[in-house]
Amino acid sequence: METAQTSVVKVIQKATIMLALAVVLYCALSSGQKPAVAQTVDNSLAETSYDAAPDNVAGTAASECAACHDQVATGFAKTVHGKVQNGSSVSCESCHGNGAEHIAGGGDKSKIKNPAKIDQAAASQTCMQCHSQVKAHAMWRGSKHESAGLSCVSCHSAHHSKAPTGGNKFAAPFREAVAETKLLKGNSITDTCFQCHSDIRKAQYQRSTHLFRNEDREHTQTCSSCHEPHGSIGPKMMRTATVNETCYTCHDEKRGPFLWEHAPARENCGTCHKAHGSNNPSLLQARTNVLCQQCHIQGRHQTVPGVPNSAWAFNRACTQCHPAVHGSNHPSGVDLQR
Amino acid sequence: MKRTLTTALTTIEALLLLILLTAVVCAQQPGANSIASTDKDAKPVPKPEKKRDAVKPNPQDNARVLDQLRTTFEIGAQYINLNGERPSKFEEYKRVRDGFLFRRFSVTANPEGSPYFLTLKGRGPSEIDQQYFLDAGKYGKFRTTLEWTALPHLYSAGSKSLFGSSAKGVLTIPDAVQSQLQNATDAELPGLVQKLLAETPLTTLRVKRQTLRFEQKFNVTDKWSLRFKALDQKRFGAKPLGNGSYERFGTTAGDTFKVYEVELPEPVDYRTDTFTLGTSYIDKKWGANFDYTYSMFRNNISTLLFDNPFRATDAQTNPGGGTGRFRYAHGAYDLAPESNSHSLLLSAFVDLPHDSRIASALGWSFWRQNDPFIPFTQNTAILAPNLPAAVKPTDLEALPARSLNGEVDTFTQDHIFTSRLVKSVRVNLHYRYYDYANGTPVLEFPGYAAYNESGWRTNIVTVPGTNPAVPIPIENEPVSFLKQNATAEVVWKIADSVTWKAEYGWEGSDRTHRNVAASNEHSIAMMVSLFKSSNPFTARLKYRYSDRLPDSYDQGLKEFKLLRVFDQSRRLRHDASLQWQWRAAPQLGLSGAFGYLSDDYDQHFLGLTKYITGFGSVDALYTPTDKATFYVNYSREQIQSQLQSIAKTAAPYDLHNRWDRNSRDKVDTLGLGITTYLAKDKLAIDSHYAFSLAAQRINTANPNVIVPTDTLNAQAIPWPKIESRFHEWNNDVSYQFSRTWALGFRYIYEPYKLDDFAWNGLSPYPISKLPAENDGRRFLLLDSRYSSYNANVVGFYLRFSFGGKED
Repeated sequence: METAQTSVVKVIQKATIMLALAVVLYCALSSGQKPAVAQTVDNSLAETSYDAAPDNVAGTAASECAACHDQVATGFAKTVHGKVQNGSSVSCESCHGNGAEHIAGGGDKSKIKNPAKIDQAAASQTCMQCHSQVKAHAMWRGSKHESAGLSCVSCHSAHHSKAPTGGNKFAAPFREAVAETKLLKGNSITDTCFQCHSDIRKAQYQRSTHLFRNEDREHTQTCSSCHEPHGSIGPKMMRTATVNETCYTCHDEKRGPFLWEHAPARENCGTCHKAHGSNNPSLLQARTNVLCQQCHIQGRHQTVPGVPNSAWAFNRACTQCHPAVHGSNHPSGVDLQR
Repeated sequence: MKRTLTTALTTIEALLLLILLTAVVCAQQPGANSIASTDKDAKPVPKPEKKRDAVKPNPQDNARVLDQLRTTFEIGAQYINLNGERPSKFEEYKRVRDGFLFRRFSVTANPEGSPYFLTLKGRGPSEIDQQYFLDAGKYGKFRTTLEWTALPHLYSAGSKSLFGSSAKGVLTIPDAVQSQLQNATDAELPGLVQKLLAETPLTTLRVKRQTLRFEQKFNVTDKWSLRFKALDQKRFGAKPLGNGSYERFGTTAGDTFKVYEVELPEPVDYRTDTFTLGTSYIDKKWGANFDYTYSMFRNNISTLLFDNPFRATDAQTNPGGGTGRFRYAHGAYDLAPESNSHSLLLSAFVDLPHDSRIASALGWSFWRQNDPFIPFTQNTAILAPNLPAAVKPTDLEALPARSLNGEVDTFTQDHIFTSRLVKSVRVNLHYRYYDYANGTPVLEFPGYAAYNESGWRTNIVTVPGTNPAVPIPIENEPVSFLKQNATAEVVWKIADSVTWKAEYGWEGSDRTHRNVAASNEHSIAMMVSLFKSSNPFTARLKYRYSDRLPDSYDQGLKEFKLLRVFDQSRRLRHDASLQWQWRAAPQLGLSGAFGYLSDDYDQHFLGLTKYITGFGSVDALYTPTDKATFYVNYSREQIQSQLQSIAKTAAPYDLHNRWDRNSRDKVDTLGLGITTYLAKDKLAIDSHYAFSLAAQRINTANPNVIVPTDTLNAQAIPWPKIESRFHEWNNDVSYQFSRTWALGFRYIYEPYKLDDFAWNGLSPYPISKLPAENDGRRFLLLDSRYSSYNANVVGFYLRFSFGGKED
């Protein structure tokens, strides 16, 4: 497709590309330099790098750590991390660094690394020592979550899954499986996301919602059904390249292409729908006729304010006659009526 | 509402019971309850050399997994009292029934010291909303996931439909009924229709979605992995589908209308299969991923054929098409066309010095749709003079092609460069490119069946009185677009707990067949973050300003010339947010959020002119002891939009007949709850309450004095307030008598009230509800709606656990 950007934009584009190339070149030429890595950890700005080398370890046994941190150790052995630790070369020091000075210092907190209390890059890099193989993690750096200052431990609890609100611990076997295996901080994926995205929480109670829940208040559709929180190629951290492609994952009957397209719907489902929840039926941004009238003042139609009980306003409103608003493949569907 | 247990033991249930039985047998094996020795005292290896596959295989691992199978299941009974005018909303996306229940189960094996794991969970085995989840594998080596979900979408349990069905996708009305209604006078018609409806039983409109997902991941080496994913989705049932038309009649006070509508229960029988094959190679400093996905959408009911209840014989409109519409005896819908998609995604990253990384992704998709067309119409009475003499609009030969041969290719690029050039400064550059190239051929049609399949129209006419009267050929417009986004961020860690971020963003859009061929949006944003985990107070403040500028706006010939469509027109946006958290005391955490977004469109034109949202929330979490948690949260969201429009009257448009609409939405949400453990942790109490109040006010106003003869069209009319109230009180109290079993009690109270003028008092034949200017004698709805309900669910359950170790 032919582009029609202004010359200013083209200059900015070129400048951005040149700058990026210059940066890459500079980095490549200076690749011999070793980044400074603190050997002892003070949980401060010094340790802020994804380049951090693996922590050197003193061989402190897990049992030595458990002698003081018994509450953490209890239950840890049952988690994914605990099991990997057990019988392997992975130890407490894999994440917390050299424990010898910490022990010698009588538990001096400044002598041990706590990923929850260090720079986000360093915290994440601690996890990446083992978790770099996950495909989505390749897009983490530079992602919206990363640049907002989040790290792995913002959402995950390395020792054990935490459930701060709600939920009966005796019913833990029934908890959302992902919350357990992914060691999430919340009871569930949605609970974890609501920690920051509290504006979405209301959606689960709205007239129409995508956050379906069963009678046990568990979500049968979760945030990660559509979003990839670790980074993605799509906007809003969508799992796919566009909003629409994400919607087509479940609503692929609207994928088409159609003979008669409804252009705004083809470009972005979000033009008419609110993805999380809405006060209107069908997750609409506004009531059906109000929504349609934002873009249509057609002469063949009455674009009237409308008596509330008129045929234009009640029940399905405009879609009573134009049901094929997502596109039509009917030869007579030019007005999206068939 | 009382229902019998309609679903007998299915194959899945039988399988489930077999698994449980196996688990019981395993639990009885010697040593089943023994705890495998842990390696707490084992000497650790001094330095990690191999990260993955580090767990040493143990010949007894398999036996250990089986030995440590822990099985838990809940059985119980519940009673439901559900009442209300139209209570379908309660079960919109779930099924809650009374009687004895096999609520849920879990079989897990996660033995310490073993790299193997197994999780099998399920709920609602005998319900129409059910879920099974199997997750098994060996850490660092392979993982197998199998998931089955069944999710209903209930539109209404109280609908009425006169239609029968003689075959899949065929909705029929007895010929005698069609004749009777066609021959009835206007005075007789309402009585006849109401009598027919009185004899028609209620029907349920529901679509069920069944999803089977299989995923296999396998690490060939510690760097190379393979993955396979298969997804099978089925949707079946029925949902409401609109179908209608109208006729206009001028009066001295404006226009009146005959409105026609026959809402249809659209049968749904979709199937989607998606397969993904992928591989990754991740080294220390670089990595690459490749995925191929094939998706196939199939519609087992491609065409919906239906009878018109009000017509037994075909006829066409009166000359000119203005009157005599809705005269077909049989109609047809071309339902969702089948399509295929192939997608390739290649992504890679490379780490560079100075904490730098380049990550890129390239994606290609190929969508194809070639579903056969159906004829223009089923109405044999329609005459199409411009077709060849022997060809009728009901013939496939009248079409310029037998199918669309629709082709869309998409190309995606995503590039991220991130670097820390200076110790405290990070730079992120991001570029995204998405090209939706629609290669679908343009077909010119000789005409189409208009006026609800009752007349023949040979062109699309322009808006009378506003644009030149140019006949527009009837041809499809394959929409293409290209979106490019570029952002440059600088993140500066000013101090240990203060981070400042500045961002410049650009979005370029290029489109075909739209009003704006090209537009550019520039934005600047700033963020200040006060964060240090050891600090009790953290906050993040963000602000973004953006300006979207179209190169030009072509209003086209099909719309009013002063309209500017909001998704393309000039827009100024202000977007601000604040988030904070305060650990006021070791036991008390407080947090809050505030958000504001304002979109301003050009007020010199008609259309949406302003859109504002505001949001605020506060959360409190109090944990006086490790045995008790209290939480409360409250949020409010407000949305306001302003629309400028004009009513069509006698051509040309008279700007006196302008009307403006102001819409205000407000949502208040409150949540609070407690989870506590008493009696030496044996008594667990979990109580949660949520309340949501949503209100919507829509008002219109005439900025000018309207023309008296246009009163019916242009007069501003305030609409009644629309309000919904939702309460949810969910309680669960259980007592753990022993390691093996517990007794629980549940109570749910859930009232919902909807007050919406568009749905209030709706009926299948709403002739008496329509205003005087709407003649609705031929207006037949399914009445698929919900209204208010009060739900009380009380029940008990027994939870049995055996084998393995406690979680």
